[in-house]
Amino acid sequence: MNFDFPQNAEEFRKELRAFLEQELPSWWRGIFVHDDRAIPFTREFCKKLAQKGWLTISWPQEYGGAGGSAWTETVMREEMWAHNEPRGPQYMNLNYIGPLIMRHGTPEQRKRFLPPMAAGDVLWTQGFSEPGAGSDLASLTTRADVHDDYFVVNGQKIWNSFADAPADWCLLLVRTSRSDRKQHGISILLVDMGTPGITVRPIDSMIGPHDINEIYFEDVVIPRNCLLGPLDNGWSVVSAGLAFERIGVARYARAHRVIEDLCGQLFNDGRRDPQSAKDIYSRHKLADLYVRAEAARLLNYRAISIQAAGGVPTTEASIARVHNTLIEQMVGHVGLDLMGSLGQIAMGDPEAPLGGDISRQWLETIPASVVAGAVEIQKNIIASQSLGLPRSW
Amino acid sequence: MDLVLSPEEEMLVNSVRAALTRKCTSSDVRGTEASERGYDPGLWKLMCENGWPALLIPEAFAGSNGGLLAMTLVGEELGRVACDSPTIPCMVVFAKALLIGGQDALVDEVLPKVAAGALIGSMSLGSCPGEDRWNHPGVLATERGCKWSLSGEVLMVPYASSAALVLVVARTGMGLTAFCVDPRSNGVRIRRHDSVGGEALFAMALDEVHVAADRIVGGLGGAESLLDRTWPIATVVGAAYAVGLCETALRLSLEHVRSRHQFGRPLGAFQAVAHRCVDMRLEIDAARSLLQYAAWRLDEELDAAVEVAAAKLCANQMCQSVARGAHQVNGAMGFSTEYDLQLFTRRAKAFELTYGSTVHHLEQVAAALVRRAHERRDLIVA
Repeated sequence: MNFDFPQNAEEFRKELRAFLEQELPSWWRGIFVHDDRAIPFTREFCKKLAQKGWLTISWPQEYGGAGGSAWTETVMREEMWAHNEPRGPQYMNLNYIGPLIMRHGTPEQRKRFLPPMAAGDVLWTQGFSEPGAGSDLASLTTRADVHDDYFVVNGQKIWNSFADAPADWCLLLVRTSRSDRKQHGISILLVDMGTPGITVRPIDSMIGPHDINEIYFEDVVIPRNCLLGPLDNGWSVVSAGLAFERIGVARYARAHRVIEDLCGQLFNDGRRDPQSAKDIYSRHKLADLYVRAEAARLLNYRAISIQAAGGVPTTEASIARVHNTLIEQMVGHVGLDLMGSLGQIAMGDPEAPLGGDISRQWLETIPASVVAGAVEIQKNIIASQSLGLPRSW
Repeated sequence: MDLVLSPEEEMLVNSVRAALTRKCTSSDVRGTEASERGYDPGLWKLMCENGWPALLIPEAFAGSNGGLLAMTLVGEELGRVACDSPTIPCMVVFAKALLIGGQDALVDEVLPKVAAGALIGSMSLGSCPGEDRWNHPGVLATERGCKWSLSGEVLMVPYASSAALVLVVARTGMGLTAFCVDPRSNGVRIRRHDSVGGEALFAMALDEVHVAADRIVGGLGGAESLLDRTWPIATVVGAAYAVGLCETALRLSLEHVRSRHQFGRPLGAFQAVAHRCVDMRLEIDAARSLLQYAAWRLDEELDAAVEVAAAKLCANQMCQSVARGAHQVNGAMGFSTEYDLQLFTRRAKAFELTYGSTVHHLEQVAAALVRRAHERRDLIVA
């Protein structure tokens, strides 16, 4: 065992922090705030990262990457999430849609889809959930009729992030056949969002714009060469992909940053020892949060270690994911509690404590335990795969 | 960065586990707990012959010098079978204190015997920093020529009835000082505590016990700094032992909820039960990660004050969560003493209350957070 980051990863962190210091405008608060500058900024930011060779720093060189290690990638994820993810929607391309295409795409698909991602030129969304298929995702009914060289898609997807950004492409789960086992008969399509018959409808969210949408498909014709992986057997492809997605967002890194900001505010607001630095409740709450965030960080590193050694960390990723989610939500709730009544003054008001960052933290992490597989679903995975328990209800 | 066990680490775990599974069954544990010594001398000999407990003792003193991370792996295996042994009080606390502050002649004479398992040393759990002593009067040492005379009482000394030497912290005019005392000396009386965990703990009363000046460890007035360097190491090994205890509490729970049927299906097929077991797994893995990180930092000689406190805090939370969860899902069976669960949850409670309380370690972490906030502010101002 060894807990040291490789030296090149540490050096990369220093360079990346200096770059962020220079590039992030003072108004930047992530893409879910009502600010028309946000999405165009993320596109420009990704292009700049691409020019430096950092956008796909850990992708293999043949796909436009720099061949960096899993730990360089970890530094990237930590710094990005800690700074409100300035890659915007494109983190999904980089974390798992691109890698899925690398592993399961045809040579032609890799050539077609990966270079635009590596250049920072393309936004993807994912079409998984449906009005009748959420946690029970495999019961999805959006249908793709199979023809010789094309599919015809009909149905509806929901809760799609960034679809209205607008997204250029969609990783879409469809049903291509019916069988007794509902996991069988699911396929993955790579869908051009400009195809006739696709309608995107934004859904208002507590968090802000681009968070959730509905996508309608009406007789949408998708060429056969946009099928990713085997016909009818897309479920296993996407399940393995989601294990990577679960450790793809370094939620613990933002938790650590919020804790640091809270400590700065409460323990040293310019006076060396403000009264709040002596308040036992604040001290102990923050200490407890810090320890939980550290545990989450190390459990992510454990899953990444397994991945770096060539394994698929299915249960370890779920364990890390649950810890990530809980700590990210907890820092929002506890942080606002420690702010007192001023905590309710939200971002946008000049009187908001810490620029409203803590209330954003609370708001943006409400769905953290729901998205990409609810916490209860993660616990079911851990129960069956790690604890050997029977399927439970 | 690599948080997966290396082949050597895995080999160590496997060989300790194989031996303990055979030699330390739950009926052995029950027998040992009821015995006068409180540990199994045969098993202790076997462990010492393999060099497992002496991983923190250098080869120059006949130790196996494997480092703290390896020691935590052994600690976890001991916990998995609820093995009561002098490993922590003797091979970690006593040996480390001697290595740090013992005078050469004493170290040369005593430490190789300790490493070989031929001499048991110990120290009161009440001397751990942050320990609330409930205003216990403790021991007073007064100088009598070239000797010292110690009077008073120390509580919770593990294995005192078998120990040849016990480190006793006493007040002197020069501050708190650690003395190496032979509990068989004139004027020493020991009495076994009735305690929740099962480990053999003794109260040790001293009435004008004479100790030579060369038996001072860590210098006159040096006890606090000696203990500050010794106990963090013991805390980390203790946390590993607790992780092992909780692993078995979880394993017993899983066996029970897989086999016991109610309402026509196994208990584990109810999510309220299954998720409770998952919560135990989440807590155990968190605690293990933190303590291994702390152990690695100590092995690398990096500052680890915050990491040790974090490991203890998280391990305490684990003990509470696992004990409550395991006793809940095991139902009435879980508190029958014929069933093994109580062997593990009682020891987990004892660990939780040892090596500094939850609030002590919360305060250690908080103080570090305040310090870091000041450093960041100073950096910005500069």
